[in-house]
Amino acid sequence: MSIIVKNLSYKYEDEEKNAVNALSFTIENGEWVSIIGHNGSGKSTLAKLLMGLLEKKEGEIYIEDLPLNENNLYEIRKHLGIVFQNPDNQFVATSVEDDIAFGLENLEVDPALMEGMIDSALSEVNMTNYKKSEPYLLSGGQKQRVAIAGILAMNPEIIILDEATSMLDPEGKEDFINVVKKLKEKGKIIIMITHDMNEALLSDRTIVMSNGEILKDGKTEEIMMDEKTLKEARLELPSALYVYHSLKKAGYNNEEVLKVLWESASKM
Amino acid sequence: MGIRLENVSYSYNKKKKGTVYALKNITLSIDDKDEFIALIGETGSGKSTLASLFNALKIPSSGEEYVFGIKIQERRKRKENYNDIRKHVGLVFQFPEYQLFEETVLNDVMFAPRNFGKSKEEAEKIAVSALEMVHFPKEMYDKTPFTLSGGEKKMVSIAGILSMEPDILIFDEPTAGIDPENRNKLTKLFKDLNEQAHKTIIIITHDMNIVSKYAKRVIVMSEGEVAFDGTPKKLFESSEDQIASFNLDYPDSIKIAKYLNEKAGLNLNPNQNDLNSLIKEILS
Amino acid sequence: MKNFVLGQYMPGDSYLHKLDPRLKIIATIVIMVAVFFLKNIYEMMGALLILIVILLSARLSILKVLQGLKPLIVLSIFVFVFQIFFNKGGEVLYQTSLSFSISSIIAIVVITFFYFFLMRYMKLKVLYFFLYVSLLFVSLKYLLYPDVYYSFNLEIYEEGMNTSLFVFFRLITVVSLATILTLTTKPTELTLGTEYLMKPLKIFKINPEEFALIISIALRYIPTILDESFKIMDAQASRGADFKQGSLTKKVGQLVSLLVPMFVISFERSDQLADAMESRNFVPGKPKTKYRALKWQTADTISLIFSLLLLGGSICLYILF
Repeated sequence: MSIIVKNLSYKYEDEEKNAVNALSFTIENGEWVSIIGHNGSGKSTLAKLLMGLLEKKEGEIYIEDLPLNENNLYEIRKHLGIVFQNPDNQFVATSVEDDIAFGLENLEVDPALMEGMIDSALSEVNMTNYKKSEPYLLSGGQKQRVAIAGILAMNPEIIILDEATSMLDPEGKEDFINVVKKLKEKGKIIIMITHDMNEALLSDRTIVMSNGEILKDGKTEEIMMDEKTLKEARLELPSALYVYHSLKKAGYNNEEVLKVLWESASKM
Repeated sequence: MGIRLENVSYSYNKKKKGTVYALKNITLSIDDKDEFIALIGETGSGKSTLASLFNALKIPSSGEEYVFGIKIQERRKRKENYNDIRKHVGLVFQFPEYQLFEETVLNDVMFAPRNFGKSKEEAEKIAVSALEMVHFPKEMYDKTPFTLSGGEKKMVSIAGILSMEPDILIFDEPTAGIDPENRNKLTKLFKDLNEQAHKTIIIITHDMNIVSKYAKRVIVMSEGEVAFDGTPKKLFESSEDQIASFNLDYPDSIKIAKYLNEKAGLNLNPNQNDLNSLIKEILS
Repeated sequence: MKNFVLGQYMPGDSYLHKLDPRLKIIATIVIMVAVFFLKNIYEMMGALLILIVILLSARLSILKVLQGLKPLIVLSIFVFVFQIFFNKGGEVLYQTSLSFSISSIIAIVVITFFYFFLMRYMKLKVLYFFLYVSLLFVSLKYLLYPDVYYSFNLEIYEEGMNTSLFVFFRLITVVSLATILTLTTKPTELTLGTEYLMKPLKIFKINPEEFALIISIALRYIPTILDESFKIMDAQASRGADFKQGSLTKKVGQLVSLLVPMFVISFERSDQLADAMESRNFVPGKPKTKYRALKWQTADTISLIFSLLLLGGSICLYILF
């Protein structure tokens, strides 16, 4: 499975500038990619474009060999799942199991198979005990995990997380990230849109966006070394790396300590 | 003056479980100027309920609460209007969308002073100075608030509370879901309001970095009770078990210092309130 | 607001819980129609008796059903009082003269004062209200000291009595039927049942699946929106717009400050929800499979026959008497 984006641009009707401008990149099987940028940098627009939620784009998107267009939208969406930012705005049913069934019903899955698929999706996000619960009574973190389960049941190869943790408390964030780590191990492609640098550190690769364009695309380690690009993208270094860079600038040269500091960054 | 709570509890009735205490035996007092308080605790610990007691949105079930000399109780004197309290204690909600409703930014910020009986001219003057305080660009005063970006909406919503000219300002999760640039703007604003305008700032937050860097006093809520009330330094010096029992995290500066001590065999004082002081400690 | 329950569904495993939702909806309508064919108080008593038997056989708490009637208390009292005083047909059943005097007026004032003063401490507000009314009645009737200023006759006629009881019981029966339906049927089943029953409407180009989806989404978001409206009220109250105080004109103005954010948030929500639904491969009108299938069982057939018999019975009564 792969995603190929070629020269992708999009402009909202009532705005002058392109929200995203001439983006090109390829994401391969098994990658965990962070897309980082300030508010309004175009990262969420990119997510919507990948899901085929916006019409009249310029440029091309291919999922495997299939071009994304109106004719095969339905086919394409079978390979993709997305979790949005607001935990409250993604539910259609009055119980957790019925909500997960919603996607399966749309895919015309045989009803006899549904319960098993729902159960296994729920167990993957550690929400088995909440099968009959009303979504309204769940915490934010639990809601987001049910949203993942709703996608997992449909078994897509690519999972997009559009600032999915930004409205969660620290506990909810941690539970959610643990689920994402598990999915990565199962070989899913993960595209995580975020402005939380500590979260971005977990990924293999990072794409930095600013004002609708890609500033830099590379290994997460390299991006996090690049203070200049991050500053230009109006982002901050993760705390440990800020200390790392500041020490180096001050002429500190205890390599042992610097190495440990570097390691500590991904453990925050 | 300020806020004083003595043995205050707040409870509500639940059909199945009977009376549930959201807050139990809270005793504390908050000064009407110069304080910078972080109100922390895990979700459901009662910190938001406590904040809504501070500006009389909720009323104590038992115990005594005085806000700027007025006793907050269910049965009040005719003349006493809790609006007067809300003028002194401004509460900024997490989502600006909850309060923005006027056609223009300026009108929206004028809403509060108009409610408190100011004339149109006066209200406009106050609103302009509130918008200046949050560094909102003048040329956007006539825009409708709904088309603004998230960060701009947040600033307008804060100006909408500043326009009441409150002495105490409470911010509910001000930095949650906000990008780094806007977060820095916000923390700078809090600092200015506290140090230059001498206002008392109370922030409800999960972000320990902000707590250790800016707060002068921390109130930790746990299961509806005040579990700790003191300086951030003292809080993070308490035992790790204690911090874990409140379900709290450490700020990055302390986490990194501890990690370095453990893995690189350094002997740093882990109690650093921000990253720059940690860097100084490592360099020394 | 965390204790807000969708609908009024009470989990349980009575036979009423197990019936097919389609049957329950049909049966409820059929029996309601049957109730409207009843003509006099005796027949209505019979209907009430059957209702109580249904309740008891399903081991449903009568108290719970009565709670469902709460919103109708004012209406039913009004209907009752209106009928009993203004319908003057048949024989006089009861007649008495009530008088205003200094002592009775003082008594009324004192009783009213205590009524409002003690109101907040009372648990059973309805019984308390009846106590209040009867105390007023007693003082008007017996306190004649020192002079009577004005007296009037209170007369209750046979027909007034009958009609008022009849209307009152009919209201209780019909509302209880609806309450039983919502008490024993999950919202999901209710929407599913409605969806199936609306299938014939396809000829009129009404899509029952979409209709059911709309109901389900509405049910899902009602508590969220309620919660939100309280928070918006708090946010505006923090800016000096206290919904609990102030004059009426002020309140109307403040309503705008509540409604605009609610609409703005709801529009945003519907946008996001639409995106989320599309992403999960929802295409309006496209064929879907169903997670929950409804199964019509023998018990459903029996219940249907039973409710049709009730309807037949009441039509017979209507024609024969």
